[in-house]
Amino acid sequence: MKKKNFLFSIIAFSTFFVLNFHSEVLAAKTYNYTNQSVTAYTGKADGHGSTLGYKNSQFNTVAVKKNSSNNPVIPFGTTIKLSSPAILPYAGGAKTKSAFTVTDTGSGPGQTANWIDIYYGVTNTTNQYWAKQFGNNKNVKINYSAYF
Amino acid sequence: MPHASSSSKIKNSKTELTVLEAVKLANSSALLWNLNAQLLDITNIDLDTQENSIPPLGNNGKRKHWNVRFAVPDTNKLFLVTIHDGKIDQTNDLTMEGVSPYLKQELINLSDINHDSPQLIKKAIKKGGIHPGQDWAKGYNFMLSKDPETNTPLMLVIGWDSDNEKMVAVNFNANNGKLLISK
Repeated sequence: MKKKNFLFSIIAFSTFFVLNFHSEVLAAKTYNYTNQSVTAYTGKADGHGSTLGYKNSQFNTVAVKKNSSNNPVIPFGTTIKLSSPAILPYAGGAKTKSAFTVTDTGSGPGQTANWIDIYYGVTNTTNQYWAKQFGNNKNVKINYSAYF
Repeated sequence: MPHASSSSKIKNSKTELTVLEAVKLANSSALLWNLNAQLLDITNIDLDTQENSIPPLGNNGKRKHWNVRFAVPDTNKLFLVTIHDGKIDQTNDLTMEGVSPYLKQELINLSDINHDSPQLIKKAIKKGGIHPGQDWAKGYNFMLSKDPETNTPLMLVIGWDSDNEKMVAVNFNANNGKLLISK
């Protein structure tokens, strides 16, 4: 009887170990970044120069920085929440936003390690003007949380 | 090998979700948060490792990890449901005072979504010019949002060009399944 119990324990332990060892279950994570630079950018009407088109979402898409290995550190699909709202001036007035979605990347030379770049719409004179109005203030630093 | 393959399929079927499956899963949490909550958008999170990438991630129109955002029309109330491995893992109320309201025309009625990612990925691949990502935004990725100008629910199948240098997307009207040609 003891032998059977011992055998059962070994099998149960092995099963538990194997199942857990191979488990790919991920826990949701929230990362907080402080004192990061933020800029704005515009893109081609068909987006990213592709023939199929890739519509970024104005005032929602953000691009994130790649690290020294040319890999972005924040995953595609991450939701970003600023610690305080950003006022985004545009031709229609100003939008005040705090939540964004990461679906793009950029090199961001000279920017902080976890810089974000807010998409200001297709490249045209108006959008470029307002993106510069927002992005030219290099003293602005933000704190944000990344949910992925 | 056949055993490994079928066991992998069984495992994935429990953890991978289509766009609509993920939305429906998250929707119940959102309604508990606020009865007037409506879908703002959904994007899969690319947390998968390369070892899982054969066949390419998302090739079947499903992914394991999702961020689903809901808002209450014409308010600044925002709610995030994060799904990991096919299950709700975390919810966060992202409401912030002073933020511009989420307009009703930006929000999606679930009854307007008649086409799901497994059908649309097939159409996208058949169209050609879209390839699975290798490093960032690996495999095929998916987004559903609303184009407030045309009042169209947009489902994007996102991949890369043949050189894996530029992201590309095939855009569909999720209501009628029609391919949308970018202007």
